[in-house]
Amino acid sequence: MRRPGLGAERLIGLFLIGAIGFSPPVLTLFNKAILVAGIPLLYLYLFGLWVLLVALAGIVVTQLVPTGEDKPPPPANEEGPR
Amino acid sequence: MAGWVVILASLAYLSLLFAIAYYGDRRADAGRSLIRNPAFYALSIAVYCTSWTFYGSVGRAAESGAEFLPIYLGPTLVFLLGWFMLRKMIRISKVNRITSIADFVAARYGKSQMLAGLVTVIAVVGILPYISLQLKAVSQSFSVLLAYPAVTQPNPAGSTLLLLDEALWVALLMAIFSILFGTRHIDAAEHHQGMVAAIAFESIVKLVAFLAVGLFVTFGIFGGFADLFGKAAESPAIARLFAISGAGGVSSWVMLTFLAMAAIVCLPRQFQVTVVENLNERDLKRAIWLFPAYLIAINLFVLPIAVAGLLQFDKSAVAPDTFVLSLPIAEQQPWLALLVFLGGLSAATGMVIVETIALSTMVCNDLVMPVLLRSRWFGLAQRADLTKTLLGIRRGTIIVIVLLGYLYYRLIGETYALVTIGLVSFVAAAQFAPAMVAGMFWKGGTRAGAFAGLLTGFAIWTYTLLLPSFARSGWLPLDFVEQGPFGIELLKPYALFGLAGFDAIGHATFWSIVANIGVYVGVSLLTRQDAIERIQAAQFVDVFRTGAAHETVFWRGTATLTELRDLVARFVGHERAEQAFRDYARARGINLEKAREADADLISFAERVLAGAIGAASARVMVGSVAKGEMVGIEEVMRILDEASQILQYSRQLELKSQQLEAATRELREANLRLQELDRLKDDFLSTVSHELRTPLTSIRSFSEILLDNPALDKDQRGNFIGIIAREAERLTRLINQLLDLAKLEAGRLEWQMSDFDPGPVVQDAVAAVQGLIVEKNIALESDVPPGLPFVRADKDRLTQVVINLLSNAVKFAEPANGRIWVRARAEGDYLEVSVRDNGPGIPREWQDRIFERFVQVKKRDDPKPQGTGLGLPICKQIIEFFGGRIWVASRPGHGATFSFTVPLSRAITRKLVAAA
Amino acid sequence: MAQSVLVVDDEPSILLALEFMMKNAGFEVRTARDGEEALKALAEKKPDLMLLDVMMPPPDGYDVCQRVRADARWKDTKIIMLTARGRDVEREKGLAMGADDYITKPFSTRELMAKVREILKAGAN
Repeated sequence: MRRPGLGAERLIGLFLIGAIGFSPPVLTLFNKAILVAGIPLLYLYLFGLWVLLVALAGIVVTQLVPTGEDKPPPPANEEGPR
Repeated sequence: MAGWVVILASLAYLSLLFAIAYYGDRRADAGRSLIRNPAFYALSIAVYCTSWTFYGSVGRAAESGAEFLPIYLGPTLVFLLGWFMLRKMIRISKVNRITSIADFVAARYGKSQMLAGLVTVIAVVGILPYISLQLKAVSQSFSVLLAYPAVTQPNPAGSTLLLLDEALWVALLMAIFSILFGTRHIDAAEHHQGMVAAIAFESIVKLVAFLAVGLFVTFGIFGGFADLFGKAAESPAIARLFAISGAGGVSSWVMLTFLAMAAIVCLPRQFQVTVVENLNERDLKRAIWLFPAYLIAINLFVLPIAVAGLLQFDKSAVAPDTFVLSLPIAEQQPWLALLVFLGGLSAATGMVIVETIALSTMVCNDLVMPVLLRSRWFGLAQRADLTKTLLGIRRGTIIVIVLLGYLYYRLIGETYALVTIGLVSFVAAAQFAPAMVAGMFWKGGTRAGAFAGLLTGFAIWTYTLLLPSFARSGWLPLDFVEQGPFGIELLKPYALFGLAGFDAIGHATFWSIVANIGVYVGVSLLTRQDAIERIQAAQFVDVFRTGAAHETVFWRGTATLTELRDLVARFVGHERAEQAFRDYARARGINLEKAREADADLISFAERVLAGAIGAASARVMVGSVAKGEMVGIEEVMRILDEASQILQYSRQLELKSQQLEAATRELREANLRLQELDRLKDDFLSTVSHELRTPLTSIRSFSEILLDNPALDKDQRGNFIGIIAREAERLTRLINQLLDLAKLEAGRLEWQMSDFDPGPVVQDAVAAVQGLIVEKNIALESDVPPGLPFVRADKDRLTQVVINLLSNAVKFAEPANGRIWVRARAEGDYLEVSVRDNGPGIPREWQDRIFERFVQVKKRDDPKPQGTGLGLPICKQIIEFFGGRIWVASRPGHGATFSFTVPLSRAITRKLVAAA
Repeated sequence: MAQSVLVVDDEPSILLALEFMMKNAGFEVRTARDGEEALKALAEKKPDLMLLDVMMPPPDGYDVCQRVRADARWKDTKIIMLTARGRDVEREKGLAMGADDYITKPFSTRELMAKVREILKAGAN
């Protein structure tokens, strides 16, 4: 069985990849005013990483299993008919 | 293009939005929520993309290339953390019925009204530029579109007469729509499902419009990305946008990312759609990827459009902020231009509606109500229903906020580009981040710390961004910016303490946030929390551990039920108050009709309901006014908190303990039964032993006394009697020996001489030992003991004893006239099996199990009592079981009995020992 | 006419001893080796006294005693119970069943004879 909380931790991992991937030191590697396949290299890199992160996030969220402590609160009795 | 076409289209579009909202509310009222699909939730969060995104991003990209992107990368990163952070925020807000960002901050730091007020002021002042940005964008795009087919510069703000200024009409129109969308009634949970549906729709429209322009520009005007960028690369002025330039670009990249990360959480409207309007935490799963995906889509064509605009127009003739609209106009695409205008209107409207609703809630709950409650308490208290008052305050607030935005636009709007105006608001909103985020994960933050941090950050923001913007627009002397106040260089608003290397936004962000965090943490460490602060801090930080199930009750007093109900009704309306109390009663299974006093639990409930309508801080004051008694003291709070956090653990332990106890009780009961049974057995055994001993003694004593008293007995009789005495004495001896044997066996005190030996001779010896009896009774014995049997491991003498015992039993029971006995020995698997069979009457089935018990004897009816002691077989059983074998009997009544036993072979034991080693 | 005694015991040597003692004392003696034989002998002829061993294969001494006391034909018959189980409860039980006396094995022959005479005399009066 998958460890509860693993999905959330994977998302945090994606966050770290994004935080580093979008940080200036890494960006300088691609920060050249040249075109690759007709598209500026920097934009190719930024959008490429962006799409990758979002796609992976889309996969990981399906693994989010609410653990016991994470059960949402019972339907609040305030949500009665209006 | 004719003005009336544009106006008609705009009104038609806004009416459509309103229709959607109206329908959404109707569905929500009917309990069939339109926005159940989590996609609505994700799309409503895209209210983040305003005119700034729609028009401003292109403008920004045309100025400084990739720098428009951090504004969207930041939120992407935050949403990757969404399950970890946003979900906690949502849970906290649900549990505490938080309805605004001011409520959130105030509730965390002890439901402080002061803090709520401060947050509200910062939010309103900070957001005004942002609203003015929307007004500017809409009026700009309106005037650009009106000039169709010409491509023109928009009119400068404030250049026209007030009543002729389209921005004013835009502002009023938007205010009206906000009022229609957001303040039709007071909702206990501040949910606006219709609005969410409309915003989600609006998000689709602006995306479609922007993508349409992007596709048209890239593939219509140019021959695709490669063609477009290829042409741009030929112009060095444009090609420089392909990379971030200089150290300033890098530092502002980091600042902008950080600002956007803060903004996606701290902007009042983002808090509204992400947290307050969230219906179900699970919806967040979809938003985690769908909202960033939306951001990617809406940013895909920003650079192409910017580059195309720069290629097509002279930058001085056409403002880059209007490229999105100007390009279709220049290409003579009226319908596309109209679609773009509607998309931009859509983006602006969505922002203004949600933002003003969020702000009006805050202003009403956290600024106006507290003041009213204080100053005109009695007047308010006498009015039965305050819901109308609340709605009135909110509607008025919306109009005031929009008009203030318009004022800002008239005063400042022309000096800055769209994005710069928006960023001013971002910096203001980011001031909430330390208090909010730290408040969710660090219990130590105090009210004083949050207050001081916010105030410091806001002051620096005002000084480094707001005031200079007035100065640069000519409303304050410009010297103040350029030489510093009173000529003090160190205090120059754009280079505070000589900090250089940032643009104005980066500079202000750095100082305000650093000071904010520093003061927040510093003051928090130096001040102490009072009771309610501790309660709230723990509730926030441990929300997943305590949760709604342990809504701790912090009111110690009581209130009369009527008073409480009336109080709630005054703010949420009579009907909803009744409903809430009914639901409460039903959920707890209590009857409120009979109760007169409201207990602490119900008071807390009423406070939460009120908090939904007027904010946590005001709710506390209101409930405090009717609840007698007081808040609990600090010691009690600590105790309650400890209990709350440990209660789960305790109950788990308790459950475990009670299960263990149950199991132990069960075992004990069983043990007791066994003990009673053993006691009874022991009693029976003693009684039986007594009987077995007394019986031969009785014979011996009787005949001895008879012989003594009758010396004249004849010789035969005398001999007979003496013979009986001798036999009974022998029986007694044997009995005592066997009893001792058995006792030793059972106590494990018998000495064993274990050895490996050939069992064949043992069986032969035993047969020889009973040979005399066999001959005497004329019994035929068949012995089937093959030579060369494998060795067994046993005590030789004891084994012989067992075989003799079985043989003598067989002799006793064999048919008297034609007695037959069979002895057989075989190696079977790991065991030697020996069986002794007779042709006696056999043993009834019901006796077969008991025959190995002590003193159980089968008697033959016609025979004198057999000479057994009833201990032979039990002793055999003990011996055989000690060897590791077993003994049993098979018999069919009338067809003899076969007693068999097994003894383990030496080789098997050796093998087992080897295997174990 | 000599008084009659029915001796019941499943232990042959004890039965022999009791039979000898009773005959020697001049009673008319019959023997039974278990409860069923005893009931049969009872039905044949009513004895004045029964020496009844308790521990026998069913029906045991208690059962026999109960049946004798339940039947009006044998209401004059005296019963002395003999038991090798020396527990007080057994004695109580025996007396409750309607036995006239209760003797624990091994017994003194003289005491037994004295008791037999005493009980028969009491019955005669």
